[in-house]
Amino acid sequence: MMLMDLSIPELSKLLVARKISSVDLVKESYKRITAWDGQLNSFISLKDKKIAIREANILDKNRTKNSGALYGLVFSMKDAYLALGTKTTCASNMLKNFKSPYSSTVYQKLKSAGAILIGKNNLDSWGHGGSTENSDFGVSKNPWDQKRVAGGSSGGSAIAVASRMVNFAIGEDTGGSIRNPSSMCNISGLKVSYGRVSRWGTIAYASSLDTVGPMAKSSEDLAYVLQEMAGADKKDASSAQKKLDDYISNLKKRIKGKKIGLAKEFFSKNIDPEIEKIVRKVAERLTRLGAEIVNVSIPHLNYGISIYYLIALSETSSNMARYDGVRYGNKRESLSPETIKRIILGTYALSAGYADKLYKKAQKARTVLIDEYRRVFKKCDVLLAPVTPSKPAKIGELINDPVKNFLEDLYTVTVNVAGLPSLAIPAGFTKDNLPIGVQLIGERFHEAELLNIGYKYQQNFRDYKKIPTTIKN
Amino acid sequence: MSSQMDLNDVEYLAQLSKLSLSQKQLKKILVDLRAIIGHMSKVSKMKLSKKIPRTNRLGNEQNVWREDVVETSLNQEVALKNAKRKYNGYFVVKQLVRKTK
Repeated sequence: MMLMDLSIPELSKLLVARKISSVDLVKESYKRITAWDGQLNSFISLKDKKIAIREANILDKNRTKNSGALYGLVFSMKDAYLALGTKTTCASNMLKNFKSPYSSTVYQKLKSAGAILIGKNNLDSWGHGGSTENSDFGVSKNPWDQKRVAGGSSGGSAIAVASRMVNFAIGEDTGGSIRNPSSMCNISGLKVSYGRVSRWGTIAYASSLDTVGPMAKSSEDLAYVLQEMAGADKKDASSAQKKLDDYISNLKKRIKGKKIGLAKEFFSKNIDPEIEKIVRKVAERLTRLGAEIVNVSIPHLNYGISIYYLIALSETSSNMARYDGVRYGNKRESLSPETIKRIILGTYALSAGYADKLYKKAQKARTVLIDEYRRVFKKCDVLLAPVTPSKPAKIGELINDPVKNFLEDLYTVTVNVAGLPSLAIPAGFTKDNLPIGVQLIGERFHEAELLNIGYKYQQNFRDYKKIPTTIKN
Repeated sequence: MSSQMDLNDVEYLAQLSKLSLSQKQLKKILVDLRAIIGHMSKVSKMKLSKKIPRTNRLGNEQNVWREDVVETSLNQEVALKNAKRKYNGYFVVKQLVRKTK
């Protein structure tokens, strides 16, 4: 049994009782990374082991009975977050030599909670992709089948959790980037409501859609991490002033009578029948736990890809304009072909003669979609949906098919458009043993409710405990 | 731009995006754009009443203000650290205005 298999509250208890130390955790983490990262390519940069052990030693010394749950645990972050002095590349050659001149709020919060940042994870550069193939630092590989992608864009972070290199990781979700790799690597990931976590110090993809969220083995662990990282921040005016819930004590609430909505548009003709079967199995399992199934409809969901990409790419073309190579970074031409394509598409959607027909129309359609979700939540408490229409693709498959690459995001993107929270949890396996996740989508700021249902589900159905046999030791 | 995008359109968009790309790159982008743009523009077919407002942000219900006091920010030395070219504590940029004869 590895320490990395234990949950955050279990580890915290052992640490406080001094039965294990943070140094033990750090050592195991580096052992796992040394053994598997060469094959899987989860990390872009890694902290010097000696420095990490020194940090752990200090934490071990200063630990008290009142130390919080994350005190002395090991984590990694998608390489889109600034942490003072660390190399921050966003997986792009543009920033390959960039060093963070200050720290993101999320890093500062986790650091002050006593968590040890061990390294920064690979991603589709700038978040532009759903497979972690569009990285200037090499493709990341799925620990369940190394010929396949790990999902993306937070692929490296999902791999680090799935292969037990860290206790938890921080990802970023603009159109599915936390949920998609979580589903493909058999871990749990939370896309928070827009504004729940500060975006200060995050490299922007699309500012009205970007969210910062935790990735971990279980809903329970996610609750512990979210509790520390969420909240208003005066450095991010879009961070919500709304009071935080107690995510941890809410986990154990009863879920009897919860209304789980199934929207028919989430089971379109593109969905892999194996995935549909798994989602329906989860629905049936939830009824066994006392929940009720309600059939609902989101008529304009199928416009989701169009609405999302028009908004996201317009915003990214504007955000990426700051990279002029003067204050930091290399020439604009060092951007990858995928990013260049997205900037050009965004420029098109914003250009004279097209902005009204495309960008502004998408903003109106966004209002329609928000209203449809609002109406649905009058009939049910949460929605249950697939994360992706297909199982993890073979490496190279999506990059060579730009249309399929876009359509893969259909089930995740509308959640960002509406600013809702969504929890992805492991749900089962295909016949060829590839993990499949489902997502629970809630009303804005209802993270506690999602984590509660996720926790109850995972107490009864333990797919989330499985790790690939190839990397067990 | 005509209904079917051509190479000149892509070149124009690249120029607006401040990207200098080779003909080979432009041609590849044109192929991808032609494949994607139909899906991306689907929204233009939606029938929406004029009354529907545009959503451009999802932030707080009320505006967030801060006290109007000066706070310390990155100092010059730190701010310049990642710059490739600097001179006397300044960023060096391309010359924009030239002397006339």
